Amino acid sequence: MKLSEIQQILEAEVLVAAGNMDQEIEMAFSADLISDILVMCREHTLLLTGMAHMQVIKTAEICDLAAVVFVRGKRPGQEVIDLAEKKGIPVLLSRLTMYESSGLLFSAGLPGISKKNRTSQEGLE
Amino acid sequence: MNKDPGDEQAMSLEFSLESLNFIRAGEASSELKQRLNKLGFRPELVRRAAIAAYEAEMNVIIHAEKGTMKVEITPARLLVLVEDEGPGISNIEQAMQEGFSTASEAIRELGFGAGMGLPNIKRCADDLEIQSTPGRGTRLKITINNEQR
Amino acid sequence: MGIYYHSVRLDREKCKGCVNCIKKCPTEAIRVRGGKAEINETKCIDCGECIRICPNQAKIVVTDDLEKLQEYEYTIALPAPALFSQFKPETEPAVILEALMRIGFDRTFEVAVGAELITQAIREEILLKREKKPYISSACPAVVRLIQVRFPGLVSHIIRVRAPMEIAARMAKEAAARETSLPLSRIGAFFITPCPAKATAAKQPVGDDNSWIDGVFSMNTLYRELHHKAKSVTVDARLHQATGLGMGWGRAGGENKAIGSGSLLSVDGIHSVVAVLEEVEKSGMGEIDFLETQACVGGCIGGPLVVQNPFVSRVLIRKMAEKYGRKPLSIPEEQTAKMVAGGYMATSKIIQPRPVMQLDEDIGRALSKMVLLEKTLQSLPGLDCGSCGSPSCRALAEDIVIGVAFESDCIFKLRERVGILANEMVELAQKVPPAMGRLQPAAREEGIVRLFLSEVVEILDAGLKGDPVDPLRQVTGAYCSDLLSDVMANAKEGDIWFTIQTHPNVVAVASLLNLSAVVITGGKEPDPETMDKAKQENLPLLVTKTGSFEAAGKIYCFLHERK
Repeated sequence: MKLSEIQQILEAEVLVAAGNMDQEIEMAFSADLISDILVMCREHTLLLTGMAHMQVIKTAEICDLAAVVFVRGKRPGQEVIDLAEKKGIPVLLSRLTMYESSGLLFSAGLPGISKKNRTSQEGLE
Repeated sequence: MNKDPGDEQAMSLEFSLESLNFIRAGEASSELKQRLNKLGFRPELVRRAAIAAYEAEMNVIIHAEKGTMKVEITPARLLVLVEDEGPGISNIEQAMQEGFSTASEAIRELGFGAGMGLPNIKRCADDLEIQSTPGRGTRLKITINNEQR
Repeated sequence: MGIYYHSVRLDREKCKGCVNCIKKCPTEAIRVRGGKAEINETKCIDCGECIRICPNQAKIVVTDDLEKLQEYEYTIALPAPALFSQFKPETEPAVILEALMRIGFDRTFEVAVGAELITQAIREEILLKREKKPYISSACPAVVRLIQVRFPGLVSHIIRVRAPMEIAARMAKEAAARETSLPLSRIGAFFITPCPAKATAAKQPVGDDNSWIDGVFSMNTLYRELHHKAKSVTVDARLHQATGLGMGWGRAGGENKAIGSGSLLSVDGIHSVVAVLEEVEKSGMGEIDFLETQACVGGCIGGPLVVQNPFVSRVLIRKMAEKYGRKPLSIPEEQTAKMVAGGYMATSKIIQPRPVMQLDEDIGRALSKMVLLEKTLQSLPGLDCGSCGSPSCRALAEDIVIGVAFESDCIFKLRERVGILANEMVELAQKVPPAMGRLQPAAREEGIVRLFLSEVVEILDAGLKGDPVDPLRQVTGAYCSDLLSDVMANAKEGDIWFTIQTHPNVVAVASLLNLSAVVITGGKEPDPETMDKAKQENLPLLVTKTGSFEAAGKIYCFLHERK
């Protein structure tokens, strides 16, 4: 699923396009805790989160996340947008809740991250 | 060599030991002893193991900050590993002499610290290895063989 | 291994299966099975603890009937020292001895005299210091058997002297044979016992093959008649041969007082004895010469078959020991010394351990069983409630491993199983095809989107934690967040909440907002406190391996298809 389709489904505002709205998103996950993001993440993955601060972008960079969606209308500060732009990470803003956003994307066919497609060392048992 | 299928059986136990906790002192050795009795080891061997473990446990409680006691049991032998993060022993040879003790008066009043600990462990064990670094801690490896099986 | 004789028995009629006894037994010899106590013959040491604790008097002591006196041409009563402390202070020992004669005995011989001889034997043995210190008294047969069963490593510490009652029986019978010219087989010696342990020892001694005692009468059954007869007898003071030395043996500390010198320790009450013996096993206690150990609190005067309050008896016995303390011994010391040297006091057999507590004869197999035991124990609640009929969770785990009990004997495990089964039944009911009438509650027909908790469980392949909760609990919406403040602000009543948070505050927030359930995602396990709290608040706690995104997605799909 292309990031631009995701933007349409979520009726999201594009905060940072980073010239990369046509990239293919393979899967998604939803989380609010940085530690959890660090454990779960892998490449070509979309993160849905209710946290809108600098750490999220830094984490996204470390994890090579494909893009970030801030849910429930949580608008980040300018410094967050600037950082995302600098790092080349697309950022969307959706007014929907995390549950609704997740639900819509999943029902549109975007799979969640699961044990099967997580990298091996990330045991979460 | 005839291999007894029982030889492959093993069990390990681990106990954490707390400094100066005289209320719980000896519990680890008691539990060890009960299990050895249940396993059907000879009374004489159980007794030696219990005494060695108790002395080692008391050493940790008296001298060290904290420590652990790990026991590996197989039909052929018992291995008791006691490690602590205590002051260490600066002169092991001296510590092995009966009557040598660095325990405080308060500890002696409780009936411990008579300087019988290590020699007593050695008496009970078939093999005793002591590794100690002053300021870092002490590691005892007590082996008791089950010969007359 | 031979069959053990026991004087402690169960009255099945009276036993209500109340489990009081199983927890008091020092060798864990009792189990409750089928609503009745069962005593394990190889583990029971006849100490009588269960007799004391039983609220239904279902534990009985089997002793002989007085009619047994008819079987012998000449009969001897052997009263234990404790007997003399059962009466009023002014009742002289000679009066009690005379009363025994009136009951039908031809002669009396005080066990206290035997105790005096044994005292001398112990003194000499301690001086020799032949074996490992401390010596442990052999006087209380319950303690001797306790050591055989539970402290097999200490059997060599038991002092190799006979019990005072055996010495008394032998001396009395030999004297009677000389005086009457009757063969020993026609002379009967009967011990008046304060406890079942000695009743058993008289039938089956530990350190010898045979006992010199031919029968045992319980102190409390003879008491009434003795009390009655004691009122009318004339006293012949010569009947009373024992001195304060032997008489004092009836109370805790009396044996040590008689021995007199050395480093002596006295401990009474079986559970205190266990504690001290554990100490001996651990630290050796080599500074002690002799350990006087008595199974009953207060010593023999605290036996289960006495009549008098043991605290009153203690005062009486101490006064008697003082009063008769300066009397010369009936057997001169030189004569006793000869008897000791001739081996009169020593047991004929070395006491062997009776390691009946072990899991298997083969250590390898025992190890496998113990590994299994520890694992089984982990799954038990650890409350040691005894409802399963075993004295503790550890004992139940052991019973399961050796194959005499089942995990479902534990009522907590049973309840868990019933809960799982109930849930499975509801789930199965949900799976009935719609054509056959799947559950279609009115609310759903009215077009209000609803979801049942059992469906959530099914969709997410989730585990329901804690107590079984109402599987038909309704879910009206969902919310996904890991931030508690966000949930507080935005989640709605009836929502299920997806989160990876596992701490107890999750439950607090969920119940505050009346959420329908909490789903912990990503395979995380809730903290034990969280589970406790969820149970308290009656809040369903679900656990799924699915991540938050997918879990939310699946529920979303389900709800929107229904729409």
